[in-house]
Amino acid sequence: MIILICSILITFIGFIGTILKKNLILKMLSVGVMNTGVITFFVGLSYRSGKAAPIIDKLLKNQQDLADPIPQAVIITSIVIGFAVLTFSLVYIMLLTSRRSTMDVKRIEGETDES
Amino acid sequence: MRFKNLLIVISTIIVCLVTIVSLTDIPTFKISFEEFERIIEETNSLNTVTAYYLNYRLYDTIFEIFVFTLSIYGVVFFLNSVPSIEKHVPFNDPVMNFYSKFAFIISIVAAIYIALVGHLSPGGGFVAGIVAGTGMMIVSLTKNIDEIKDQFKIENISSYEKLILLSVILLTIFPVLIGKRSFQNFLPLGKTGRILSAGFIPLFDLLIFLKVMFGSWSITFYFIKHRGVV
Repeated sequence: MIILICSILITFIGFIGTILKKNLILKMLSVGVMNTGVITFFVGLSYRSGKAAPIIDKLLKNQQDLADPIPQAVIITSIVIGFAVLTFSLVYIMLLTSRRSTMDVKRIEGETDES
Repeated sequence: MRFKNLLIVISTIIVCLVTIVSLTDIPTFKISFEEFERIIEETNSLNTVTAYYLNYRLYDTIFEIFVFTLSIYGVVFFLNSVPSIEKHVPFNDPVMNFYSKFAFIISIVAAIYIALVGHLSPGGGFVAGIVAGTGMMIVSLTKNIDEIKDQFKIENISSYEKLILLSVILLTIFPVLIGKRSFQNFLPLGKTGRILSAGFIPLFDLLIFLKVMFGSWSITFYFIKHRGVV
């Protein structure tokens, strides 16, 4: 239970960072933090149904307290995909920065309002 | 501006609290051991997570590989239009020069082991690919960029990746030709606990390992080429 609460807190910390930060690199870092939180949530979800890893040992008959494999199988591919997509967005930020020579979102969009 | 930020923070905290309170409704369910025995009987894979993501949910995994390939093509394509640095300076530390080769060999051997026993113990293709990619990154930090190009044949890597993607697609549609469903485990299941068992799961693990290794390494290579080591 404590894992689920912490993962939701991590996710929303990343969410606040994604909205409030003006620097593009820090924005992408916050997206990475959100990604970590979601992965931790799925791991904690499968930890609720059992404490041991869902790997069967043929020598031990009738193992008890095995975790649910389905949430882990759903999320395991997303770790590498998250890495690749984060790198791609970083490259896009590099391209944008070399054209506009700034990383500030407001200056890239040309806004100057202070309301 | 201040007021807007405060509003965003307060509303996010409220949504976060509502989500945490709603967690108490999630039911806890036990998976019985008979369920695990049924999975092992059907797929012959002792690691049930691998049994799920490479047998029951293979369709999903294939498209995750597509997304990975597309983002790597995007990285390589867009980095070619970013201005690169004039002079490439590698790490010139004798300790690092010496030990990076050891780290490279150890990580490659460990990655092959992890990829091959993905259906018996913790591991699998994705993890093994990241391990091998990290080893390749360590060794390419200490070498000149031309030396890396000569040693690793960087221009062939994208064609290897295309070949691996093609063979993954062919493996999934091959069962149709011999009269089975597509995405079906068509190889013999073998004896439980051996490396060469569980049908095509070790084959897919190996292909995903090569795919992720080449992908993550080409990402790091192009970053080092265009942005330097530091």
